Amino acid sequence: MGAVERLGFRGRLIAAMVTLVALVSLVIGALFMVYLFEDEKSRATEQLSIGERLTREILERRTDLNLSRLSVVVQDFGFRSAVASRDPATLASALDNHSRRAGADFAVLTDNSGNLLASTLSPSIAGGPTALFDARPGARSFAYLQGQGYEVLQIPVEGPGLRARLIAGFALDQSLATVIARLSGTEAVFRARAPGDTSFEVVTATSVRDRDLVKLREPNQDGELMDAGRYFRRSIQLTEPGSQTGDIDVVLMLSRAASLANYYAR
Amino acid sequence: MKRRFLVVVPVLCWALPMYAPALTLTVTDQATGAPVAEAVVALDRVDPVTPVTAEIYQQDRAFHPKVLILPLGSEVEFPNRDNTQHHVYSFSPAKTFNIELYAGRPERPVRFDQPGIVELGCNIHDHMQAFILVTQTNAIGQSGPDGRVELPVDTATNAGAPIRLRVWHPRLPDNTQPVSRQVNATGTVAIDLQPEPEQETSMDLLQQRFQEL
Repeated sequence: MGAVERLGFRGRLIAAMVTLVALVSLVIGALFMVYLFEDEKSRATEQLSIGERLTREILERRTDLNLSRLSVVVQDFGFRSAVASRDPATLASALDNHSRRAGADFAVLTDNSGNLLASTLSPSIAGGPTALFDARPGARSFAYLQGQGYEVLQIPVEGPGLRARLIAGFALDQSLATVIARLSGTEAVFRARAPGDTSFEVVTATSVRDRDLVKLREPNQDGELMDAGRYFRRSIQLTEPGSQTGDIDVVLMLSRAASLANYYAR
Repeated sequence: MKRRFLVVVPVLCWALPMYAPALTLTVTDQATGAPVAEAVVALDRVDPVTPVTAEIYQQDRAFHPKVLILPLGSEVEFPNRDNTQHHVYSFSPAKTFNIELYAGRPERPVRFDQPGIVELGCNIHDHMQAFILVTQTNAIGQSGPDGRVELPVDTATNAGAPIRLRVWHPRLPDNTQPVSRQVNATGTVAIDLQPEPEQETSMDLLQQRFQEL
């Protein structure tokens, strides 16, 4: 109380003005920080939206390319002759050889009723989830098999008097994640979980640190923007919820440090 | 003479249905109800049949005829009347064969000794397609433009009993085998068909025109 009286009127006026200036500065600083964060968030949302559209487009193009490769394979006379022979060893050998031509990571051949004729999958999962074989011809689905995510395509094998179906799986691998990451300017992580599981497993990822990948085990809604520490992220569902072939999604992650670097660069 | 005439006429009248084409059916499209032409309808029975020798030739990069009904054990020649070679083959379980690229007439005909549908193709012309129906019955026919087909069958013997039929058309969803149907003495047979394939595009017609020039 004595110190305040010793200041006198001038001193008190200066102290009040300094306090006011400090308060105003703090408020301005806080408002600027809020604006900065909101702007950062809105830019991240925009970039993730572009990344999402780009990811879907890349996957569509990849599907078209793989279907085109498969259609060449199933029209090969040698392959159709091998299928028509119904000889198990010939079928298995031709399936292995011709699926490599299309760059498939696994292939399954069934007759038109869905009975298994040959498979390059291990016998334990050769029967596979029934949904794998029930897909419409030409339709794309995704499956989580033996710790790996696959894009699964089905194409009819048709010739004069021959009716069968070829189901081919193309791994959702590092090269695909890298292409998505490079074009979208985000990190890309493919996650999957088996039917009935609650937490996800990371199938493949670009340069995201392991401790951040652990956080990705928890599910989140499609399109959700999350301020998960160092990253803004968005999940793009590739399978229907509760799919018999497992849930697979791709998470696009935008580093906040990289996002803020734009401000420092200005 | 007059008495003999009176006896003969009733006997003839009784006997006629046994040999006349007594079963008249109309084949229709299940979806639209429209009559279906070129459907093959056969009685589901086994008759003694006499093999024949027939011909499916290739001209203008197409098989002629596109559908051939054959008695079991028949042989078919595949003469090539085009200026390009053809590779005629089939993977059908009823007859798997392969005549590699050839011009003119193949060395020997192909014998069809199992009943069933044999689909033909050409390995270097994917659009070429034809069917051979190898049958074991004499009661078989193909529907006309109005969808009507007549089968030489005795309806008097099993009057009232349902008649089991086998019906086939190139546009069946699974055209590798006929579908089964049951009818009474007359009636309509409805089958599920896939839509007509698209007609030739204007570009194809233009290409055809250039070829003709």
